[in-house]
Amino acid sequence: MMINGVAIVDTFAEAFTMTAVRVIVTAASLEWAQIAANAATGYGASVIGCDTEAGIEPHWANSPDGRPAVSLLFFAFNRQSLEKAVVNRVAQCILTCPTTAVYSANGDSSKKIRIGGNLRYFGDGWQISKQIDRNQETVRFWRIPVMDGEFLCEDTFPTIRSVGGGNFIILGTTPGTALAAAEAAIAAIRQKVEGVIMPFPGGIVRSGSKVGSKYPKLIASTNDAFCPTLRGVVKSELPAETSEAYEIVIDGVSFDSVENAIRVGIVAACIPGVRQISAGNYGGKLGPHHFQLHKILEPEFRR
Amino acid sequence: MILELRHPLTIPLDLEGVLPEALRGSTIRDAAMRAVLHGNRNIELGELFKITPTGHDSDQCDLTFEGDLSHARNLGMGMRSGQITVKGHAGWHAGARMTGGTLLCENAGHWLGAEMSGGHIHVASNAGDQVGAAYGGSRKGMSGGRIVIHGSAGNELGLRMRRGIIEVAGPVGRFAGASMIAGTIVTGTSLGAYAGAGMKRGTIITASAVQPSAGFVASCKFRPPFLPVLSKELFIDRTVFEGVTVHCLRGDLITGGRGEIWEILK
Repeated sequence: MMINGVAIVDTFAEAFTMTAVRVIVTAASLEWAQIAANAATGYGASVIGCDTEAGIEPHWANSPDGRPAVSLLFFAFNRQSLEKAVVNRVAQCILTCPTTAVYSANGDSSKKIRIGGNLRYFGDGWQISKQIDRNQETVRFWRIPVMDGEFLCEDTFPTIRSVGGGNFIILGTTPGTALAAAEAAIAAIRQKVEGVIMPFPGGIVRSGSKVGSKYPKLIASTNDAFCPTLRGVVKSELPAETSEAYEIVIDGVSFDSVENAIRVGIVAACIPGVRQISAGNYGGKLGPHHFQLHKILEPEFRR
Repeated sequence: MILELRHPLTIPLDLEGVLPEALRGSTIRDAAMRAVLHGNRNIELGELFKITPTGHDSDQCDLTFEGDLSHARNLGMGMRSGQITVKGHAGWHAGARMTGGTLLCENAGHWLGAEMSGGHIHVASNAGDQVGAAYGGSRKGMSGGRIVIHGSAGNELGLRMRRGIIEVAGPVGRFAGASMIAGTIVTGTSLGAYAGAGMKRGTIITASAVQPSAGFVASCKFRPPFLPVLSKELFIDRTVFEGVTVHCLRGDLITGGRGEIWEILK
């Protein structure tokens, strides 16, 4: 399959089932909401080394208290680790940030993690619980006194059965082209797709990883098959003349949202100078979600 | 079912037990034979009310009372589900100790929703004293649910209430939220003297000037993020509470000072 002269490899991206939570941060100004959001989602690239994979959803308009709002998505492999990570991040990065408040959004209401209920102890006995009936459900809030007034946080947040690790890899022939293509892909996904985050810095990964290592302590190590400097000494997957490769990793609230992001991203990345677009997988043995690149793109681009 | 009062009541009528869940599946004849206490005599409900079906009473038996029931007592007491509509006055103790369902009425007497723990009560006009209150000797008043009064309410609104929300659009009498344990009271036009006297926790929000008891201290002026969240769910005029700064009073210091009165600043 070719799109704008770029070969789409007949392979698939392999992704995992994860648990996600959506956290809405509001503040007196959009600037403060974004500052809190950036802090809370920092160091949230990959669960290989971080407690959670985190990112900011663009274009979130629904604000529970009418103030500027930003939506964050956090992903982990189970609810326990997700709760621990999000409680710590909200406590250190949002509770501390001027004028902020934190609310939940939609999700599977039968499964929840407790955030406000864990943070309330910071109130040292002066915290106040409030319950409101909203959408035929009783929602509990915690009001914690802080030095600029009150920090408001919902007690529990519904979790979402989600998909993490969707990906595609852009292979460029001249230095800079793959990066430009990756930037275009990220911009397109952010503009057109809802319910996904690209958790790595700028949404782009240069250190794509494979499972395992020659060092027993490491669970992941560099994806040598895509490293241009190792061509000739390892079993490389880089075609001739390829000088750089970048991976886009996508976590989403559903299979469809990740699939849509892969489609939009690949189409945007097919620019002159890009030789090939591939995807990372582990032979289909680890992750239950397989995104076949040709199948995703076929409705629009015939082989 | 529609229960139309045949003659005006002149002596008290105890309607305890005349509930949607109790009459669900009953025939009109069964309902009419139900015993109620009228004065000091047990009589059949059908003697006082003309009962007519509404068509779908078998699976959902909502009750509509027509007539002045200001002499009635305990209407909707202990209701768990369904809806009772009163086209007129609902009497004393209406909706007391209810745990679910909805009670709609035009006016209500004293002890409306006393010690209720769930459900909704909507009063189109006025209610009497001790709305959502604890009965004498009880430790806790209302412990859940919501009472909305679009007119005025009497004294000791929310006395010893433990949880839930009471909204009153019009004037409220003295000692609102007295000895309150928790919960939220929202009032519109005026709040009587000694609001929050002896309150341990809980929040009284008012758009009027406050004359609190001596155990309250001025705390600060601030914009609570909770207020716009709450105001979205209010049934009374919510625009009064949106985007405003409040003057926060903490008290009652006699009982710990963890309660609060928010006076909306114009």
